[in-house]
Amino acid sequence: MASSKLPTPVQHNLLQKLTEGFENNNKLTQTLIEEIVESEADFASVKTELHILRDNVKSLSEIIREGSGAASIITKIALLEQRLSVIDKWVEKQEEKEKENTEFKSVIDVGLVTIKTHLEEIKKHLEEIGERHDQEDKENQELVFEKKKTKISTTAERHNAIMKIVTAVAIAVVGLISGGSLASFCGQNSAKQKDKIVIVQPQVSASVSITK
Amino acid sequence: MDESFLEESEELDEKMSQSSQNIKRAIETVRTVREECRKTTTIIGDLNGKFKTSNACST
Repeated sequence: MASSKLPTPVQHNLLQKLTEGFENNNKLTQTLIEEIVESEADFASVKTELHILRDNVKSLSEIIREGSGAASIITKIALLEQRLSVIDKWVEKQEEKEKENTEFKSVIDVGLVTIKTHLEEIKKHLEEIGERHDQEDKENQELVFEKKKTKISTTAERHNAIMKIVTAVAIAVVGLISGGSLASFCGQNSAKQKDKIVIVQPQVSASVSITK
Repeated sequence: MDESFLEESEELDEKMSQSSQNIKRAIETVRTVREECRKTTTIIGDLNGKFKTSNACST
């Protein structure tokens, strides 16, 4: 039998090396198994955390889709989108209004400048008219004053003439009564001018012209 | 007989060496996976913590 033979030293050495190799492999395998066993705990931790995460995501999904006692997040987002669109439209309208207001303001500014220019021209015209009226009033006042002065002087002249006539008549009457011939006196003077009476007396003579 | 034994022994030694290298690589792989697993656990744990904080704030 071959098994009864003892191994040679070389064979023994080889067998010893193989035995060491097996032992080394055995140790490594043990280490691998330990690592794998220990990794189970790590995988369990991940599994636990993933379960918690799944529950959280589930509750979050419920809140987003169905809401937790109130309106869901999706509904709220839809409402917000609607309101946002309304606000956008309002902002667009406001921008258009602002644009129109700016244009209107520029037109008004131009109109105001034109009105101001016209007002200045009207003011100048009014000042000129006022000055003209003042001048005319002054002239009218002077004319009225001259007329009054003329009237007063005319009246005074008339009064003087009448007084002179009356005086002359009175003197003539007194003279005739005192000694002269009234008839001859009248006959002499009636042949002369109608509007001119000349009274010749020894002491007094008067010449009066009456304008109609 | 001795020669064949020697050849078989060398072949066995070679295979054992390869096996040893494979096991070492497997160990390294498992360690890497464990490390990544721990990191993932930390990240998910932080996320769950934020969920808790959010729920506490909302309530």
